[in-house]
Amino acid sequence: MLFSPGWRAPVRQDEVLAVFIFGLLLGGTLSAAVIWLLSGLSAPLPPSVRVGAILAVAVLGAAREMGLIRLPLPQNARQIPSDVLQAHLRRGALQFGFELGTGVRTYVSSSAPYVLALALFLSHGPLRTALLAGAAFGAGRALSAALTYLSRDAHRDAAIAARMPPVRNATALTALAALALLLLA
Amino acid sequence: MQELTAGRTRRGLTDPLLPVAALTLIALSAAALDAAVLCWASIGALAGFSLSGSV
Repeated sequence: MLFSPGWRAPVRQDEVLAVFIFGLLLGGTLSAAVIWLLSGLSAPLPPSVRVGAILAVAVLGAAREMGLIRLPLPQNARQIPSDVLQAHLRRGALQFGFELGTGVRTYVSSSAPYVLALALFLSHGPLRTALLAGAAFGAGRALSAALTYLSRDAHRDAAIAARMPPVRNATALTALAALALLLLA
Repeated sequence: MQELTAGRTRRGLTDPLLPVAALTLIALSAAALDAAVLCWASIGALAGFSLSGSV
């Protein structure tokens, strides 16, 4: 793990974390900008249809996370090659963060990113809203790495694995409830 | 003993459920207050955090 204890590289670990976070923010913002550009395609649809579709997607996401339905997610089923980090640690961390931040360069195991992307596409909201949501996506991924770094826990992997089912359920249900409150009020 | 307590405290403060609880509260409050930008940003952060893994 990049941010777990036992760091031996000649570069400071917090410096690599900062560059990695910057890459995540860039990647998330770029993906959101692309979604916003594409969202013009959904603009001709009546608002009621778009709201209905967003909530339907959020319901499907929540149902999938809770195991009520089986729904394979389209994803780039590959890991980012580890040699990205071996050639040059700072530049590699930036690239690694950027690729993770885009959300399209490796596995995406949770429904919530799909719900977010489709909701941004269908809502066709202001550009700044989309960009902030994308940057926040990167920040959410960064938060996980930062907490791993701060925990200084050699068994962090197991702790995260145990917490992920409730984290994903809560995320999916929150997305559904918040979008319903925001769009139906 | 002191080290053990510090380790427990650190683990508790970095528990993955804490940010989820905070972001959930922010997302729902923002939605209820019609603060759209904050609501979308909170959902974005939750979506990113839901991909937590071995990095």
